Amino acid sequence: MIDLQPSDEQQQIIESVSSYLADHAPIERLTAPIEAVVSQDGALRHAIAGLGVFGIGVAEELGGVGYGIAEEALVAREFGRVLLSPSLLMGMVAPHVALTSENLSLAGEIMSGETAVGAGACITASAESLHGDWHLIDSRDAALMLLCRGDRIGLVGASDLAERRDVLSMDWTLDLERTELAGGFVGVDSASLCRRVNLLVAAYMVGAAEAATQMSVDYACVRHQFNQPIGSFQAVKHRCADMLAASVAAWSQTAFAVLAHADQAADAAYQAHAACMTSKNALFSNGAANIQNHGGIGFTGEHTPHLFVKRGHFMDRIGDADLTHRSALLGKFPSGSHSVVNF
Amino acid sequence: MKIEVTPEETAFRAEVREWLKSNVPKTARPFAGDGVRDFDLNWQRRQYEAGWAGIAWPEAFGGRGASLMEQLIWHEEYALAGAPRSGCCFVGLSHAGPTLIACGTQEQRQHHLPRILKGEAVWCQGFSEPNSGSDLSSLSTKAVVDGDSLVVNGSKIWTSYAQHADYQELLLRTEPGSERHRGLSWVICDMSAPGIELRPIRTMTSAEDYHFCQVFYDDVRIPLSNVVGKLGEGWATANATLGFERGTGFIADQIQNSELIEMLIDMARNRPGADGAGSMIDNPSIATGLAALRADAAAIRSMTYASISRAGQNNPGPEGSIVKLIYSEVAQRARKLSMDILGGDGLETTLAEGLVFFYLRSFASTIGGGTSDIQRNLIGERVLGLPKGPRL
Ligand SMILES: Cc1cc2nc3c(=O)[nH]c(=O)nc-3n(C[C@H](O)[C@H](O)[C@H](O)COP(=O)(O)OP(=O)(O)OC[C@H]3O[C@@H](n4cnc5c(N)ncnc54)[C@H](O)[C@@H]3O)c2cc1C
Repeated sequence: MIDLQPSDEQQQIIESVSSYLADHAPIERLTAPIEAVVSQDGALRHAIAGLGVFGIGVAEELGGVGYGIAEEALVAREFGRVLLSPSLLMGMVAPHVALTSENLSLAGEIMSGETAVGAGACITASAESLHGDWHLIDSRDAALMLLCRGDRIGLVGASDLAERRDVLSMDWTLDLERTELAGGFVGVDSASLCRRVNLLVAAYMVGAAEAATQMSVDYACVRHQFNQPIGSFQAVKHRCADMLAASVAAWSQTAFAVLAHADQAADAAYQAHAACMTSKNALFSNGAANIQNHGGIGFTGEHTPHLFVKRGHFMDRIGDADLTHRSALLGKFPSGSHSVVNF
Repeated sequence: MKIEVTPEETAFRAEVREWLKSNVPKTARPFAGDGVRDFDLNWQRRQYEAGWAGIAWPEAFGGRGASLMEQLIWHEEYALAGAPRSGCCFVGLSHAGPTLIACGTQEQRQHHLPRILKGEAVWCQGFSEPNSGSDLSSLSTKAVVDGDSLVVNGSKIWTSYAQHADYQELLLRTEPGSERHRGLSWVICDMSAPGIELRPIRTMTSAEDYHFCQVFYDDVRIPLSNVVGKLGEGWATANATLGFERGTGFIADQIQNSELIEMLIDMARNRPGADGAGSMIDNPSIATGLAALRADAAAIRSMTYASISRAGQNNPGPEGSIVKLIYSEVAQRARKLSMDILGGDGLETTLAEGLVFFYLRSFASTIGGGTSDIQRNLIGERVLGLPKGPRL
């Protein structure tokens, strides 16, 4: 049987996370007419840890909640809907990385929210050693940064990074630093954990693409021009329909890829690359369409549509970038790649 | 069909090139902030002093009176020289000034035209309102006649450079109870008049970029002598200058876009590939994207030539929408591709010659000046003669 719908239990997880976020991290938190708001999401870390989110996919005997990557992806999608800080998303992957070196106490500290994790975004770094230039996103208070490049992943201590300096972030709601990892630390080789990063980024991007769709639909119903709601014009209506189609395609593929990954299916890599590409496409195209649907308001920095486009660029640098997925999808995959997962 | 360049035109091109070479400002135009006004006015003054101001304006009104072909050459050379865009001088030079030439009184012309040309006055355009964007003729900011003045109440929005402007071309409803295009008036508004309040609005490009404003009018008094054209016939005045430069004004943007594409090709050759191997241009999606853009840029230029030669001395009319539609979408694609080539560096606004800033700015190109959807409606109805939708 193939079932891509969340079970009742999964539905409960979604609801607890989404209702928490609706109360404490509504998308409107990122706008203010006068101030440029820098993300305060780090302050939610303990509360989000309290929901069990950071250990949701970690086995119970290792101190986690005992679900898997499917539940992580459902949470990531909710994070994406409100453009929660990418560093909190990395909080779900970090315990798994800590466990590769059997560091149970570190994994525990991350899951409890005691230790903050930052999000590294690759500028140019070696997939052999992770050495190279990185951006750090919302990572100022983080003790550890999650870096992921190719098949290599690791948690690097804040003190191991040379010359951290502030740079002007394209998305002013995200704090951005530039740094270099010059030597020492090398991380571990784990195609599986890197794919986990990619898939959670994909789920996050789908959530954001879905939120952009909803925002456009809501606006198209209330904004009137020519004495009618703009949603009655086919240009706008069709754009909204395309936005939905892109999100549905991206979520379906992401859900399928997540299950293929969980089952260690032969075609897991292929499914994951396809999920990443469709979700990136969905967020970039829906982000742009959402701006267009809002007209002048969409171009302002006072409303939220622009943040979806910008978030697309940031998420694209965590894990594999769009261009990498495109090249990878032309590669050879194990037989069965185009059929049903070998459950 | 022919391409023929006269010796006079060749000489004109050489003259323009020479002058631009030694006069284009050496410092880059500030992206945003208060420095913008001074920068733009200084550059305008410099052009005025050398006799280039108002390239398309008739000589009788102080302009250069250049022929269409000369305008084309001017704008081509202007872009190739990397000259700054007219910025906050744009509305005065390309819209308000030409409107005064077409519909203004002697006094209005004498007072305003020299100031625009000399870079002494900045104009802004107050047409759009919070509830009237695509549907401009539904506008409701109203003015009532009181003695020899109009008294204005209401609000305009998205007024580019309003905070730098001395004057505003203001489209108002002057006949109470009138509907749509009827009962509107085109009025010169002094931005220092009591009762005007500005709220600068931040754009998505950067937290410092307050490109436009919402403007509020609370019993603002404007002398009736500031009405341009007839009272109640402002719609005709507003349309008198649509396509004033017959499309030549956009040539500079188009060539700058071509230059951008060439620059991106170089950049793609020189930047390491996405996975550290080879260079960016080895990536097939970057390479085909760039090739397609190069072709589109060439075609846009040819389209502009075609529409100018078709129009001759006439207004290009709704066909201008075709160039705008294609240009704005190609420009957006070029900017998006620049982000792919920039890779991780693209997360920083400060890097790479404003590439990120202008990428973000490109989202405006399918919205400002009539959205791409509205352009498509215009093409469908006014060029192709398709059945009408809601009245445009
Ligand atoms: C950078 C920038 C600078 C600007 N500068 C100025 C200025 O200096 N002065 C000035 O007066 N204005 C200015 N504008 C305003 C601009 O003209 C309006 O934003 C534009 O006309 C759209 O109006 P709106 O923003 O109200 O969007 P709306 O009209 O509300 O449009 C919302 C969406 O509905 C769509 N839509 C609306 N009607 C239809 C239809 N009939 N068929 C199909 N789709 C439709 C639109 O395409 C859009 O996607 C500027 C705008 C920008 C972005």
